[in-house]
Amino acid sequence: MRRLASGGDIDRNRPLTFRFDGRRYQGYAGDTLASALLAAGVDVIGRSFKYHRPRGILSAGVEETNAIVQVTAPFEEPNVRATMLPLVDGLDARSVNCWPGRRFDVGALNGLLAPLIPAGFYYKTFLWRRWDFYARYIRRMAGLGKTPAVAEPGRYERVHHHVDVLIIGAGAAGLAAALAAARSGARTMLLDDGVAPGGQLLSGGAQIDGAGAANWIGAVTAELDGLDNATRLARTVATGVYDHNLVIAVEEAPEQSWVRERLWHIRAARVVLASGAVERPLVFPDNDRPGVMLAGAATAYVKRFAVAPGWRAVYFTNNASAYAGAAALHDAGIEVAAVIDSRADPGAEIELACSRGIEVRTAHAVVGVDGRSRVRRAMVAPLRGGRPAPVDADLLGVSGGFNPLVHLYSHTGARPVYDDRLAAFVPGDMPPTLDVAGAARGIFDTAGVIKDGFRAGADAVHSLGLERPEIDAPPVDDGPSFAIEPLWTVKGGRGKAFVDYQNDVTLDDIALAHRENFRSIEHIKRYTTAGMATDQGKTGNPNVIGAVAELAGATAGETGTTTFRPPYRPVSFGVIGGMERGQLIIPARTTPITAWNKAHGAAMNEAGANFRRPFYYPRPGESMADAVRREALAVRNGVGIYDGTPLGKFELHGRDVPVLLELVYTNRWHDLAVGRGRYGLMLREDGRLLDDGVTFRLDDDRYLMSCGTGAAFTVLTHLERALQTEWRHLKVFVINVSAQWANLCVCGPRAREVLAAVGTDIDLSPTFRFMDFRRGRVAGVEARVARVSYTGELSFEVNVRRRHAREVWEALMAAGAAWDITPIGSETSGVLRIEKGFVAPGIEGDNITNADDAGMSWIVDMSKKDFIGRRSLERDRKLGGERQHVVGLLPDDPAFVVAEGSALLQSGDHADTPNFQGHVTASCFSPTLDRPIALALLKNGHHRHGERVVVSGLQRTVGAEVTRPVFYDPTGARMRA
Amino acid sequence: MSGYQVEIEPIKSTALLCIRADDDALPVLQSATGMAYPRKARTAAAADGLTVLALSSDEWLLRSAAARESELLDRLRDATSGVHAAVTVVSDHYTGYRLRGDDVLCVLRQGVSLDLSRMHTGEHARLLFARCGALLCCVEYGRCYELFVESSYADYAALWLEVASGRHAGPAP
Repeated sequence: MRRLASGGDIDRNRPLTFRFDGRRYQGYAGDTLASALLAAGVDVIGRSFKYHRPRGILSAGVEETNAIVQVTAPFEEPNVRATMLPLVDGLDARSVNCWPGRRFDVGALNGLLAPLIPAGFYYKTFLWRRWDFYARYIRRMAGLGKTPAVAEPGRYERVHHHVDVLIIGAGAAGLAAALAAARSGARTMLLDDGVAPGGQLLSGGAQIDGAGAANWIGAVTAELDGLDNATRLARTVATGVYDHNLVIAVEEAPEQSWVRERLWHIRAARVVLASGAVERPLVFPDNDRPGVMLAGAATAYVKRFAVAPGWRAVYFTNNASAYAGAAALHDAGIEVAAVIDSRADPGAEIELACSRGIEVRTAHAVVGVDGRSRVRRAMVAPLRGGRPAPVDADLLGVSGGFNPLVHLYSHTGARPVYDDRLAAFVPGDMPPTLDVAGAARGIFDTAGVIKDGFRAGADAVHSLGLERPEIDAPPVDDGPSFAIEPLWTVKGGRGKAFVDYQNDVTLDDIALAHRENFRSIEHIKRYTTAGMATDQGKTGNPNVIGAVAELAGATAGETGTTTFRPPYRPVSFGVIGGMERGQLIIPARTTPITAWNKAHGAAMNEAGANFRRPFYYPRPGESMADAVRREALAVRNGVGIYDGTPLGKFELHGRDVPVLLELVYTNRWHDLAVGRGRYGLMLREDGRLLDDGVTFRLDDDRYLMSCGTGAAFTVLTHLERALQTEWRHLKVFVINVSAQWANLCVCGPRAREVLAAVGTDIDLSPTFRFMDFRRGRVAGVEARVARVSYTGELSFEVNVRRRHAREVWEALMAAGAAWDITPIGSETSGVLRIEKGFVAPGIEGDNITNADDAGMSWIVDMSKKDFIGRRSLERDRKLGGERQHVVGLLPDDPAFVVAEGSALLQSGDHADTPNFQGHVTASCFSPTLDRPIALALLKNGHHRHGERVVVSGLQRTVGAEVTRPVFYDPTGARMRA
Repeated sequence: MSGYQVEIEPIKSTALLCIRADDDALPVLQSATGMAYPRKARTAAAADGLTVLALSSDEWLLRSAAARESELLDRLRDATSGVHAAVTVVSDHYTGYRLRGDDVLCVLRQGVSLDLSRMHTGEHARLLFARCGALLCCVEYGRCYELFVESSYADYAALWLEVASGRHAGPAP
């Protein structure tokens, strides 16, 4: 066991029990899963992505690439970093990418097959035949976890938040920036991905204001927590920065126990990015063995979690920082065998080792590692060449320098630049409303970081017009200053040298890409997949760039960096979806009759603009076809009723309404009398069908326009845009009353009797003509009744206020019982429409169809001076040529309903050649004609009535006769009855 | 505790009239109702049991007790004959919910992207709420709000509020 007897930020009075791969362990409150596993002596956490090599724990933070686990309790989640998962009682996690277990894994055979699966093998092998066959097996072997098999029972929340200054990262720079911003009075928000604020201060040795860093952290957070204008969130990761400073962040385990995760949409006037920097490993053979750990992480485990990551350590570094780590481990009672420094002349930091009796080998490198499941020895050799000498160790602390976390900065489109002094990419030009502070900016000394944090916070509030706060940075006693000499790769040795742990990309892969003439770092990234794993190359990217630079004989700066894109770390689908699951995935719009429909067994479906409407009303034992046939025949021979409430309805007020109607419709409107209605066709500016509907004149200057359900919003916008931008002089107001009025349509030859029976003071005699509109009372309720027909039968549309709709509907049903009144669904309405050949702009209108194509030239009055779409329609006419026209089809097979969308082909000698002629737009079995019928768009169709075509669908191909599109009552006598 | 501290109840017995008028008609309307109409965006005026909310440069929503709906409609239509104005009853077009409680903003901020900290008592805004259009009125900052949606979205909004408030165990059914 590796738990130290004292120290750490864990609560030893709160032991916690957890399981890993089915085995029970114990940790403490304050542990992460990674620290608890380390303390328990678990070396191998899982297997690597491609070669299934045993992997341990590399880091102590968000940059972790190796210790990826599948959590199964208290919730199931794949792709979780053990280093970021706070330990809770009952936690159950499993290793990934291994079978039957992490210690013995059959997939490790992949290591032997390595020559067959080099970089780019996906691209090469997927050119082979039957790639779809073997892709299944490749995919099964790859991956770091499994998608949960059951629906997530937890609840996720998405919230919107607005702040003046958002600070991302609560390390030294972030805390300082937040303090500066909040003291000025700005609405300030501070996010941090850790459980506790402090970042690197938590494991560093800096003394601030004469005391440990914890004191300063505590004082700053206490002040922030006491300010009403400051908000501080822990365990919250900013995953993306988008246009206009929209920052998306994920908060894990919020205070509200019923919320699993919360997605924050934060709009910030200013963003200060204080995301810090992460240490990167060095690239040498077998640098991925469990026990190889970032030097800073080893210190963190000792100081924060009281865990000895090993009992005999060797450090391998190219910079000054590792010496402090070696000293810290030594001071904690861990033997430090040696510090291997690739630099020939280290600075003052060497005293940290020498004063403790730690051997330092300069101008040396680790050229290999003994041990498969755990480091046993480091093989050390002079950099100039020479025989490697073993150094016994179970921990190899490595430090290849630090990578400022510029990911979120890059999301804005800004490009990092290479800093030779740091051997790292740092932010270049700053976006106007985003700033970077501290280590993320390339400042690595604690005093400088705090000072820069204060600067960034003060700059942010000053740019918002607030007074710049005067804050004196506290005195800081830090370790030796940072100095580095890049060492991108260590040559020699036989083991694989990894540049990207998570995607198992090796130096050999980079070399192969170079041999295959890949030069751009972006191309090499895609070819080798380096930097494309879920860790986003946080630790590995600069090493990839350095390796590429060495091969190309260029500098890292000349090689350049790749582009970082959101998300910064994996985000669960659950939190992206938020509440939008189940019935909330899209709005289900309802009418006052929806509940009645459901109670009466209607099969519901979505029928435009998110309305849930009855599809049909099956009786016991009835199929859908049976129900539709019964409903359609009821309308044709008796009486039916449907809920037309979803139709768009607009009241138009003003003296210039007729002028507007003349401009938006293709036909004449100036002579519409009060109490009369007229059908109108609306075109888009390009002359294509927009919508159709009936408009009634209610009074001298009041009209009621109806339009298709799905087009309601479009039509309203169309009218408002015309009035607000094109014809501002028109005295017209448009008011949306779509939901004010319910529309109950009684249709069929017995409709008049039903309306009379329910009780009305409206004269229903033949003086109430087709397209008439009358006011009165129906079933005791004030109503507007219109003679309109979308079924081709005698119809009365009863419009009542929404609140009365249910009672009037039920009254109509009761009164209509004598005639077996039949509610009909949208499928039946569709059948009746097809029989009548009514063109639906949303169906036959395919964004190409114009009024002539639709056979609606009769309603286009080109003698009008202007209307929307007139010029384009005129242009279509002058251009001529072959266009698709709406036609009817009579399929040869009297029992086969052709599929909507089926292609129309020329028949006869041309049947075997490509000869696409059009497609079926609507199709049904007509109960009235007792045969299948269809509407279609057919090339030059108006002139081909009587010809034959071939209808080619997925199920089968049949012949059909082209006809006029009106199959039933072509004169319209029945609806005018 | 499970769920936010918020009470959600439907708003009943309210008459809503949509008023649209150009500059010439506005004095007529103001005279008919005996009150000045607000001209500044998002503001409202109240007098004699009437509340008038400015919705746009030429649109207002007049709110009163339900019993006054007919009388107001007749009075305003009579007054505006001859000027360019439209007075239309929309009481059924909208469905309203009143949200009250300490955590009301925790619920609203889940569906409203507007900066609610800038909306003060007495102000309102037309906005996107969840996935439907809505009118949100701030009755008491941070404590009480009224939300109106088109009635076809009423069931959706009610379920949304139930889930967002945490009363519904787990995700939406």
